[in-house]
Amino acid sequence: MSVKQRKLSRVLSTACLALLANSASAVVVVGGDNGWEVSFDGSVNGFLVHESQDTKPLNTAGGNISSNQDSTRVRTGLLPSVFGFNVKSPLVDGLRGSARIGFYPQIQNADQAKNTFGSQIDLREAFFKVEGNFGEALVGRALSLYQGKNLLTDMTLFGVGVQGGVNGGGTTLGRIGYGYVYNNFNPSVRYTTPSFKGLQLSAGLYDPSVISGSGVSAKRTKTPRLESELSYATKLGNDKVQLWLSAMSQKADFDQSATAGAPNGSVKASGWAYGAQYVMSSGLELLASGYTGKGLGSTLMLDNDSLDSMGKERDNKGFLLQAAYTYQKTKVGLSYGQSRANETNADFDLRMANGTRQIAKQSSTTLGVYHDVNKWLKLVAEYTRATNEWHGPGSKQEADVISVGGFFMW
Amino acid sequence: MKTLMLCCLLGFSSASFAGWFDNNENVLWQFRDQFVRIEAQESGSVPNQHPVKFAPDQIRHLLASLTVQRDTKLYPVFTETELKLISEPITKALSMARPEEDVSFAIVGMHPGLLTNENRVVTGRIFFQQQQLQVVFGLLHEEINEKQDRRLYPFTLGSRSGSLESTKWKLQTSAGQVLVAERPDWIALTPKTVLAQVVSAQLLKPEQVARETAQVRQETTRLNSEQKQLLENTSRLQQEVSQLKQEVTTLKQAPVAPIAKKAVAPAPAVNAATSSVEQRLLTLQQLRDKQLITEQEYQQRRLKILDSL
Repeated sequence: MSVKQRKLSRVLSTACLALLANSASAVVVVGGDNGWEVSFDGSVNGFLVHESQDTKPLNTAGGNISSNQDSTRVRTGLLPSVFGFNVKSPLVDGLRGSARIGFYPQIQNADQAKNTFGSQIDLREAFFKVEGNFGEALVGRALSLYQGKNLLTDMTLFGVGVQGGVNGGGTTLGRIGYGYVYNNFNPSVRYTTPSFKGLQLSAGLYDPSVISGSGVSAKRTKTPRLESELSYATKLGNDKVQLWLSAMSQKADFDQSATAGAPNGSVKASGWAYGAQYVMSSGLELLASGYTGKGLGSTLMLDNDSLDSMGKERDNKGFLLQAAYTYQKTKVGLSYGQSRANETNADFDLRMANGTRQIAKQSSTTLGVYHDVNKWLKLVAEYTRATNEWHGPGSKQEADVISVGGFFMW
Repeated sequence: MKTLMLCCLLGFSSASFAGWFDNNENVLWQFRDQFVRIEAQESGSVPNQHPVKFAPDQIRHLLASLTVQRDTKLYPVFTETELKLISEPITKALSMARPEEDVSFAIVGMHPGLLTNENRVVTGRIFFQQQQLQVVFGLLHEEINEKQDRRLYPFTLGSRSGSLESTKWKLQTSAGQVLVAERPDWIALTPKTVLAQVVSAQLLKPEQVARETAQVRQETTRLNSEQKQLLENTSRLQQEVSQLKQEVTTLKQAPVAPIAKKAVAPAPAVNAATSSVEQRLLTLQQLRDKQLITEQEYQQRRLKILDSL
C-alpha cells in the first residue's frame, strides 16, 4: 500500500462522519424534564467486498485503484461506523444551543494484517450550534460546505461504490474522485440563514488548509478559507425538488525559506459546485450534480495532486448523474460519475521528458439495491465498474467491485 | 477574487433574509421550524367566529385538557413546556384572526417514547366556530428526524377535508369535548364546560380532600372500636373455653353414684346443663362465623362440647 493510498484511506476513514450524522437520528434521549436533552445515535455497517482489477499502467501518477490485486474483504463501506453524543439546551430567550461529538471507527484492519490495530476510534466531529430565528451559527469541526451536498445526495453513501485501495483501513471511496472531490471535515465558524421561501444560505470562515501537489506544498496561510452554499428546496405537490450552488476560495503561499527549491509566490484554489435533485411521489428520483475549479485535487480536496510539480494549480471538474426508483422499502439506483484533471504545461513536459503520465479521468458506474428491512436495519448490494485514465495514449485501468452488506442504526 | 466577493455578498444578504423573517406579522411565535401563526382557511371552509377573545390561561387550560391514546395508554397532547410556549401566542392569534383565517401551530416537545422520552411533534389548526374551540391535528405525537431538511419535509397541518394518514393516534374526549365527525384528529371543545371542570376541580379540591380526610378518620375510629370489641370477645371466649375445660375435668373426676343421683335430679338442673352446652355451641359457632377460629378448630371444639353431654 503506497503512502498516498494509506493517507487517503486514513483520511476517508473519518471523512464521512457528517454524512452519517445526517443519516442517523437520535433515538435515545435522556432527560428533557428540565429542558436539557442528552441523546445518542449511531450505526455500524459491514460489507463483504470482492474486487478484481487490471494492472495499473506503468509510469503513471494518481489513480485510486489497486494494481492487479484481486481481493475479497470484510470491511466498512463509504460511511464509517459511528457513535454520536448530542447535548441540547432548553430554549432560553429565543436561543437554543446544542453540541455534538462523534466517534467514528471502522471494522477492518489496515493493510489486512491480522494484528494491525489500525481501526482506532477517530473523534472527528466536535461542534456546537446556536439556533434562533436569526438562523444558525456553528462553531467547530463539521463537514465542509463546498461540494457537501454533492456528496450527501450520492446513493453510494449507504454502500461501497469504488473501493479505493483494497488494503485500506478506512472507508471506501463511494464516488469520491469519481463525481465529486472529498471536502472533509474542517474547523469553521459558519452561519446559516433561516429559510426564505425555500431559499437558504450558509457561509463560513474555515481553518485554511495546506495546498499540495506533486512534490510541492503551499503552507503559509494568512487568511481563512471561504466556503458558502446557496440552496433552494421545496415541495411541489408531493414531489420534492432541491437546487444548490456552493463556492470555495483559499490562498496559500509557498515558503522558500523553509523548503529548498519551493516555487515562488502563492497559489489559489477555488471552485464552484452545483446540483439539482427531483424526487417524485411515484418513487422516481433524478439527480445531477457537478463541480469545476482549480487546485481542487482529483480525490481529496486541496491535497495530493492539486498542484503540478511547478506549483501551478491544476484545473478540475466532474459531474454525477443518478436515477433511482424506490418501491415500498426498496430503492434501486443507477449512477455514473467522473472527475477530471487537466494536464498542465509542467505535466506535459514531464511526460515528454520521462513518460510520467498524470491522472486525467476517473469514472465509475454503480448499480445498487438498498433495502430498508425496518427502521434500524438496511441491507445493501452493489456492483461498480470503475475506470481510470491517464494523460497520454494507452493508459487505462478498470476494476469491478461487488459488495453486499448492511447497516444497523439506532 | 470573484468567488471571494460572491461569498461576502451572499453573507451580507443573509442578514436581510433574517430581518425579513422577523417582521412577518402573521407569525406570532417562531423558533426555527416551530411556530404559531395566522393563515388562511382551507378553501370552502365555513367562516370562523373570529376574532375571539380568550385569556391565555383559558387557552392553556383548554389545550391542557386534551389527551391522546397511543396504543393502550393515555397521554396529554401537550407538555407543560409546550403549553408555556404556545398558549399566549395562540390567544393573541385568535384575537387577531379574521373569520376566513385559522391559527396554525407546530410544536416539538419531549414526550414518552419506547424507552425514554423522545422529541415528538404536534401540529394543527385552531379556530373558533359554533361557540366551540376546534382543533384539527395534523401530526399528533409524531416522531421526527431532526436532521431532515424541513423545506423538503415540512410539518403538515391538520385539514378539515380529511384525516391525515400520519395521525396514527386517537384523541380521547371528556366532558365538554367531542370528536367532530368521529374523526380521531379533530376535536371541538365547549369552553364553558371544559373550563368549568377545570375551575371546579381547582375549587373543590381542598373541600374534597377535607371530606375524604374526615371519612378516613371516621372509618379509622370505627375499625379501632371493632378491633377493641373483638379483642374483648376473644378474651371472654378464652375464659369461657377455659371454664368449660375445667367443668369437663370436674365432671370426669366425679363418682358414678352422684351421677345416678343427678340422673334423677330435678328437670331444671338438666335444663341448665343443656342450656350451658347450647350456649357454648352457639358461642363456638359465632367464633367460627367471625372467622376467629378455623373450621377445623370449630369441629374439634364442637365434638368436645357434645362429648360432655
